[in-house]
Amino acid sequence: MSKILFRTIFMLAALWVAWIPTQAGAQAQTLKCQTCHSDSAFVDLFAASVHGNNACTSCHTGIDDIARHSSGDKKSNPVQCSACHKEIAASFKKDVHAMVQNMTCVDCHQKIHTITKSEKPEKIAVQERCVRCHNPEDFALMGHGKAVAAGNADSATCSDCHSLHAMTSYDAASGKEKAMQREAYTLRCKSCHADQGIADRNDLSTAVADTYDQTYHGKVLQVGDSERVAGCADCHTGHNTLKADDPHSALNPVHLYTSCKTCHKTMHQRFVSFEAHPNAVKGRSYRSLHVAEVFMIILLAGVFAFFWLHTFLWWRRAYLDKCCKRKAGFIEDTLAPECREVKQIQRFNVTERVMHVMLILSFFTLVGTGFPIKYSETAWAKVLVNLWGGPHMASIFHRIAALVLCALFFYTLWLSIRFLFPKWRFRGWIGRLFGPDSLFPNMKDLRDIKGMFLWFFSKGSMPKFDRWTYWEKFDFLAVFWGMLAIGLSGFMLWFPGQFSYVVPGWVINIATIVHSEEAFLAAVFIFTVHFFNNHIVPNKFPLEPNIFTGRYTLEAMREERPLEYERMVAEGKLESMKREGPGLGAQLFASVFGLGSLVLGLLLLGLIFWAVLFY
Amino acid sequence: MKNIVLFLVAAIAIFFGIAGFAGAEQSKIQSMNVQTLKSGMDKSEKITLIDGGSILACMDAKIPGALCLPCDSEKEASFFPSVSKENKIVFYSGLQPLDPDCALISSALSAGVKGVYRLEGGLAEWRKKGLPVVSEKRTPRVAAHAIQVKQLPDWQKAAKNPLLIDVRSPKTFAAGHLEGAVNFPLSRLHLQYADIPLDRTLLIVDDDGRAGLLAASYLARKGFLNVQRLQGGMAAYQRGTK
Repeated sequence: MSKILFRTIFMLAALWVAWIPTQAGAQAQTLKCQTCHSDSAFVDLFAASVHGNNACTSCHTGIDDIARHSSGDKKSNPVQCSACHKEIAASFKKDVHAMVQNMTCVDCHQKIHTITKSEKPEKIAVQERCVRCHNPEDFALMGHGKAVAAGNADSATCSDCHSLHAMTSYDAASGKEKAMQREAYTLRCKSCHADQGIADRNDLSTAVADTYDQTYHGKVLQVGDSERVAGCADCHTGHNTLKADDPHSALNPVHLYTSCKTCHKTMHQRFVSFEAHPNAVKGRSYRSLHVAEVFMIILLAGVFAFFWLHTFLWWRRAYLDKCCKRKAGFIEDTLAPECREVKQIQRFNVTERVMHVMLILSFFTLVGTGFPIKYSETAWAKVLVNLWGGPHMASIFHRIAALVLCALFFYTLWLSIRFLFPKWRFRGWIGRLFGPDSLFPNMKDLRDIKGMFLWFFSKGSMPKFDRWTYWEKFDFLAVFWGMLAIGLSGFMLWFPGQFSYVVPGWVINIATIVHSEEAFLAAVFIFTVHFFNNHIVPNKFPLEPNIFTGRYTLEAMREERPLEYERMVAEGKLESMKREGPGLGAQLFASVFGLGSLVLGLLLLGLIFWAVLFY
Repeated sequence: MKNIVLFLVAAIAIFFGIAGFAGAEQSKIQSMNVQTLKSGMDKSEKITLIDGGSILACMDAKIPGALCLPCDSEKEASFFPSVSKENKIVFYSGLQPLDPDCALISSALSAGVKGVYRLEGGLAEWRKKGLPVVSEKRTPRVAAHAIQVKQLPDWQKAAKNPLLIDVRSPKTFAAGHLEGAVNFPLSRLHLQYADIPLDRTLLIVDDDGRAGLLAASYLARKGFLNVQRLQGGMAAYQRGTK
């Protein structure tokens, strides 16, 4: 122990001894310089400056012959601040002042020989230095700058946002760089405005950051498409960060129209009622949003409560039945394809099958491109978006898929009208609407629901179905509601400015909620309830291919839709429904495309649950 | 026979037409990015690099080895016949946009130089890649205050004997300028600054706010005591008055 102590003392003493002559030498050198450079800036004021402990030759190197230097023949080497201030010099190389203006240290730190540390707080000192060149109108005299000058240590001074010696240079003419700038500064704003401590001390709310992230602007920016959406500085116009009730604020009602119009070129005055930081939880402040949110929650909860219960009970009953049958030897374990020679019953025609394939493709495209925006904060959002070729390409795919879905919707609407009014025959349309071939619900469906639940609990036999079951009707009609809700709200989000000629801006906020929640409902419903009802139910697992092949066996028809079978027999139409079994190609397509869709859907479902549970 | 002659005449005309078109294509300025330039310089290719902006900006900071030949320096047009036609000539500019009708570029093209290029992104892009610049004679910057466009009317009323100095090129100045502004192009400021009255409060107007500080600093070094800048230059003015 004493050995270590001795060594330490010896080392310190050696360093001290080495330092004394260095200091003495430096002082002697400085005194020599001052015999000629006797101006007070190089004598008294220099000694009191922040560099006062240095010798002149610390910076002014290369003077090895004083006689030649005195006669003017030998000048010192250019001063290199980077010799000591290495880190600052390295970062300043990339600073906009150096990159664009070719500025060096002394351009800001003028009168370098007399420079002293400011007695004012650093934030104020920085601000005062910047406004020597930069106009203080927007920043120093208002908002953050005013608060800094008043002594608020939480408020941002110039360097808090722009950094002191590493202010990135962005080319305003480059859309890509402008986007990078927007993303960087939005993150910088959020670093303070999402800080609970700063918010508490300054009577602010972190909700401004949270609620921005929940808007279309915030979500799209998070997945990396900051070229096309507004960041903080776009609405708050850079330095003008005043509250909206201040007449100078860009968000003041007087200026708001102009502010929004900077990006939304086509818009009506009523667009300004759009809330850029909506908070649906604060029901009083945002009543309409709150009502929309509550409605959507009730809708989702109701649909999922009923159908998930229905699905679970059905699975349980079907599983038990299948087990019993297998044990009794009634089911052969085979995955062999159906034999082509066996006559099958036509259930879907070519048009219907093509429509369903297009529906699947457009639906997956919409989910694959839309959910990364909905869950933009997740780890998988950017990965998924990049699979589409980046956020912009994903948005183009999303819109193309939406148009395909709209086309399918209107074609289905046309087919429905043709079904109700064949050859424009109106007579008997009510009978057709509630008839067995219609997808419109009727009283039998209510009885079937009751019958199914009794069957689930072994209180009765499974109801006999006709051409369409009640859950198939729900699937079909849900598309109509879904198209109205998702489609209309989607077009509002696509063309917000144009829609402001029809509806006020706050409706766009509601459209955001409806589009998002309805998309969740549609995706989760399809990937759970629809998948189960049609494919995963034990007697159909792993795939019911008839939506792709168009046909199923007579046995399946008699088992699943006995009323239709009996009706067709009674009407003498059964023979006309018989077709050759699906060919190998059709069966292969059904297996690959159908199973692929199932796997993809379940994968997307996993990602959605991941987002819901962990973000 | 007549048809054969006609066919030959048509074929020759088409051939020369295509050749002429191709020649016209060749006589256009092409683009070169920073990486290509750097790799060419590293391989010691014959590249003549020309800063076609202004002497002041070029002396302040330029790509190593570049010549400072402002676009409007007509007397330098005779430079190109002396340059090997196999040379690549790369034009760029520092603080101001390179004049698309640069007389030097036309001279280079008409002198028959095969490869005449414009450096994409100019000096800013070169610096962004972390590549070095040289300062032959840097103008130390002064704290030249910036005036916002919206403050301009009040500033003109309040300033003592104000004078707007437009440092853009004569062509852009002629296309539109602020009322009362006088054109002192940055490329000639070092030659003409003596014509600016010393007792006026000066406001420097540039293209986009980038060249103003250099011009203001240069004038301040030449004894003009009150020099200020229009923030964002004419681009900001045009945005602000839309």
